Amino acid sequence: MARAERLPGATGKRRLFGRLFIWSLLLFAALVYLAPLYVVLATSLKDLAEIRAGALLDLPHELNFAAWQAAWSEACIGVRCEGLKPYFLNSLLMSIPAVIISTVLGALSGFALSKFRFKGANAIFSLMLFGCFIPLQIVILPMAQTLGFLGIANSISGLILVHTIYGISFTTLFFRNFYVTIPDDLVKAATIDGAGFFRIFWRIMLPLSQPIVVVAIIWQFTQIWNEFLLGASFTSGGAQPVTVALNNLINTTTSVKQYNVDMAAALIAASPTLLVYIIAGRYFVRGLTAGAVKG
Amino acid sequence: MATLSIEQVSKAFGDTQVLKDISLSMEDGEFLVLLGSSGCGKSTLLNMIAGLEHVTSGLIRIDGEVVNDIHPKNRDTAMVFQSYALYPNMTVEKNIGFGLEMRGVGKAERKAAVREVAEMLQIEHLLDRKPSQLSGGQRQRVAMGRALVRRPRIFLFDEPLSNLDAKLRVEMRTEIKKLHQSLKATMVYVTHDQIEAMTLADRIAILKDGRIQQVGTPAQIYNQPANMYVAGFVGAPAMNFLSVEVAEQAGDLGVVLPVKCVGETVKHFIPLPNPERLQGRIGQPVVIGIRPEMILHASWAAATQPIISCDVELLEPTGADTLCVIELAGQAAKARVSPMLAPQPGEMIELAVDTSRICLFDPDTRDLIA
Repeated sequence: MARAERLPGATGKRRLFGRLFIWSLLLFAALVYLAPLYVVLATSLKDLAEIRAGALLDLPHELNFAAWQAAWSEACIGVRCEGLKPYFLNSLLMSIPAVIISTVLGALSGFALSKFRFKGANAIFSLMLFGCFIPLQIVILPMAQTLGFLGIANSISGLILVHTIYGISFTTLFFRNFYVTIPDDLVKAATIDGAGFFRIFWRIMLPLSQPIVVVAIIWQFTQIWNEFLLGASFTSGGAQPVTVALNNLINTTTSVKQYNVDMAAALIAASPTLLVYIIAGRYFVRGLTAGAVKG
Repeated sequence: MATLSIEQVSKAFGDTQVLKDISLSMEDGEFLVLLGSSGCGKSTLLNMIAGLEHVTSGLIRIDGEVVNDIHPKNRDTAMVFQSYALYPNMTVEKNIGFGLEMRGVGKAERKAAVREVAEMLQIEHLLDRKPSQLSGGQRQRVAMGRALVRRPRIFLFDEPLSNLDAKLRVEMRTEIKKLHQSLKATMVYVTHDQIEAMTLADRIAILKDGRIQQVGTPAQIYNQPANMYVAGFVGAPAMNFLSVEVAEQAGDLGVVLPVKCVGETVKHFIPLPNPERLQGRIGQPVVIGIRPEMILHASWAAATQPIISCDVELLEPTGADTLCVIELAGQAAKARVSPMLAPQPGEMIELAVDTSRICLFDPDTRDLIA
């Protein structure tokens, strides 16, 4: 038996120095990485006078949420002065259905591609995979025409459609690769037991899919919520998602640049994805590394 | 309860021919074992009976009705998998009842049926557990329960005991046999374990490279193997195959067996019964198959059995018997003697050959010379 404490560098002074070096390096990297977030957060809590005083890295004198209030419901975007609130709502109305629809479709097609190996299944899978590598810029023009043809240009439903289609490639990939690790015998047993495609999917596969569902949801939600280009291209005015509104808010200048409001708005726009990561992050890592189902 | 008949069935995956012209028929209540090493197509055949694989050509009939194009759920078969294939997200009760639920059996009726089967398999206390909380043997029982509860026409077993440890495997084997005796159901059982096949089967079908080598009762398979493959596959320790020459001596037909004794090779003439099978082969090579238990200690032999003296090179004690490795016809061969009579390695031993059950094989076709 190899004993860990016998390995070179595992004990004594060398180990201590090694550890100190590693920890300080990690700490330094973390500080550098988190510094911008700190600046954004601190600035959002300061008033303009304090910001003008110039000490970027200082803590705010008091917790002042006025800027958050302004960013949420008062700041002017273009000519409307209602803050981010309506656009935040737009983003929710767009992201939630798009995430759910693309995840469900991805799960179904992943199941079909991995467990019902029909002729050409691999070719279809490769084609779907290809979708992951298509840059958004390429599809803007044809997509704009399609949305116009369908009569859902400049609407939230239009964005839901675009994001669902674009997301299916990724969710199919996730689910297909997860389902190939689930033994085929389960499907065979259920088939003999008398269950059909959808019943096997609903009663057996889906309950086993929790880790990969979390991965798909986090991935899709982050992608869709943070997406800017499609939102800017296909919507204007009242139908814009929060990312586009944030950009417009910062570009809308009245008299003075309200850095604190801008920062608060940025944090508000980023908060849902942060929240999703905090709640489901550990499942995300687990889902990415999860292999076969035991038992 | 059903008869099964397989008529000239073939199966190909693309260009690979997996099963070739398989014909088998089973009586109601029969226990048939499909035996073969891995890759011989036995599991594919089972899947075809269940309907999980399409039949490339030929017919499969259950109770006389062609089922080639009938969906698995309507064939009324049940299968026990090697991996058990229990649904990990369901309790044992749900696992067993799933097939009934899919067939629209009411909740109360389902519960009663599950309970009955659970009692039969002694797993009532496990009904609320998930498969991950069960041991291998318990999972195996649940898998059996799932098949039993539906009272299917045909039971299919796909190497159900291969994932169990040796002791449990023997226990479960006995239980499966008991189950078959009490249910009198038609069962098809796939295994690569020849002992399982011998102990369980009413009849065994041995497959190799997608072809049936022999179908017969365990005794037929053991005593009159159709060819050298079957002879070598069944029986442990394996049959000794010796290349010898046919000869005639004093009006008897037999073979000349070179035996190594005190370092020298001594030629013994071994007369064989049923000499007509050797007609016209005098002076030609044949392969004789002698199982280790047919070479016994001389003191236990009948007076008519030829005695050979030979050097013992190696001993393999198994407890009940000791296997002596000797040299016959230039090859290592095994003889089975009682541990009490076993010599030391290097010593000489007198052995008798039970000629009545020796098998003869053609060295070219490798088939039995009957």
